Amino acid sequence: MSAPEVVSVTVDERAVQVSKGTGIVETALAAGVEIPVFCYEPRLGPPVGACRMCLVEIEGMPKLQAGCTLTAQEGMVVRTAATSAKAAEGQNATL
Amino acid sequence: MPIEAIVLGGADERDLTQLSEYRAVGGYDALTKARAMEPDAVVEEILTSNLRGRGGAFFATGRKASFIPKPGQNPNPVYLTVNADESEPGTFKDREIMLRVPHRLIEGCLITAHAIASTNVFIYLRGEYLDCFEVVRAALEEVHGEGLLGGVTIVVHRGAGAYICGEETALLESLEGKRGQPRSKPPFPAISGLYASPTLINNVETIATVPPIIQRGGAWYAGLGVENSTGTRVFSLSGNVVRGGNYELPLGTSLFELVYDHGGGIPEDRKLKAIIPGGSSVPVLGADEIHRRLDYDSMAEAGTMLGSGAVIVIDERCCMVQLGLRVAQFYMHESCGKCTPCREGTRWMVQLLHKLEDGRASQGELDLLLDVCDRILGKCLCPLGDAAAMPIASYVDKFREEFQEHIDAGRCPFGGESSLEGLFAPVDQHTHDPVAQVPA
Repeated sequence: MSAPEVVSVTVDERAVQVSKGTGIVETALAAGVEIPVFCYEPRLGPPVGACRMCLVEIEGMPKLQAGCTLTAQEGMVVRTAATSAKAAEGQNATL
Repeated sequence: MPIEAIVLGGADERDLTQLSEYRAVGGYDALTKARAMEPDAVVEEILTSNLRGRGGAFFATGRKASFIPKPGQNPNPVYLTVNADESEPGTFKDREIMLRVPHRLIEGCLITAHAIASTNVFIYLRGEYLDCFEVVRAALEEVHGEGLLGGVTIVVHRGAGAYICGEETALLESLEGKRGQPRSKPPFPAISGLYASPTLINNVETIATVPPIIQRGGAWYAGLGVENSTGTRVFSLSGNVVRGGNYELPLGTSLFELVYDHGGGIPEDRKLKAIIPGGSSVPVLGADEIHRRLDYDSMAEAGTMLGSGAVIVIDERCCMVQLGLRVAQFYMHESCGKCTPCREGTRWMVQLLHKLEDGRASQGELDLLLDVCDRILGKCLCPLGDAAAMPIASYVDKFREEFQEHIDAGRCPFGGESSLEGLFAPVDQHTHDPVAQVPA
């Protein structure tokens, strides 16, 4: 088996390299950024994307995306609530 | 100039539910023509026609079909699913199409199945449409008897009364036998849809438009209507109008023409107050926007959408707060409860609108209502939340004075005279016995 493909992602202006298909929540953790989650618990099963707590802004995507269900792709620029007013508003809406 | 019907063409003169009658008007000729063509050429023809999805999202049908992996690219079978779960309040076009031209739908299914190299077609039919089910089933039996299916299986699946199952991924979940709740996208159904296989999902009207396009050519169809919105559309006209019903008109027809020329205007010459141009989930238009044209760009310019093509006429007797309440109650009832903003937000909206209507609301609560709409918009898993927030926000936006009057006067200014007075949302008509009855 070949080694998993590595992709470069920017989370809140911090560059990070993860293997392709890693969830955005984990990708952000690798970059030292915590995306808050309610309904995501990897030990219980696949992500659901229901609570909308992990909403992040992705450059080039019109709508906010759930960090738990989205996976890392090459060149993705992620902005969490820390650097994006839109994402902060989205998270705030859930609370 | 007489307007030529395309989707419902020929149904006024003949009983097109009969296969022999449908054949007499050239039915299934397009299928023969399509089967002689390469699948890609069929998709190309649909691309040329510039046909866009009639379910509400207005996505280019040809492009959607071209996303489906070609044979050999994906080991899984390809499915075609027809969304016949028409539940948008005010919309009744698919019902008429299925009741009057079921063979055009079936022919469209077979052509589209050929175009994407699929042998399995599912028609997800709204559960309440028992009459459509009978008609489509009878038509399918006739087609089967004539051997027109060509190895394709068409399954008519009846839903169980959930509005959310009209959302494409919830529809797929329901079809798989699971709870009808939307999936998160990506992956999109074109890659991983029904049973994790590539799936094309189209509305009934879209599919029923395919046979005429193949028969007469995409270029011919592209010449109808206006730029960016080609062809005809079946508009469901309802509300305070003399002759409500389905009218198939070219896109780009003005709202005025539809309501006054075809629909006969408002009864008793009452004044127009507002128009909902595309089903209950789109922002409302004021009376001054009656001359807007019904096409994608004109509607976008007016800040609204063509949606499912349900034009609802509202006259001066209607209280907009009551209308908002009715709409919000519908979405509260139909919210599947999966994601937070929609589940909680729709309940908040109903409570706030109740207070407004009763005259118990404070100034801050009107702002809170707009804030709740804002917190739903664009943050939900599927478009149902947006569908609830957009109209309510637009009612407040366009009829702010009326909402303000409710607060200032401490009661509904219509004083029980509104045309919606005493009409409850279906959710309020459900009766629940709170105490379990133990048999004696």
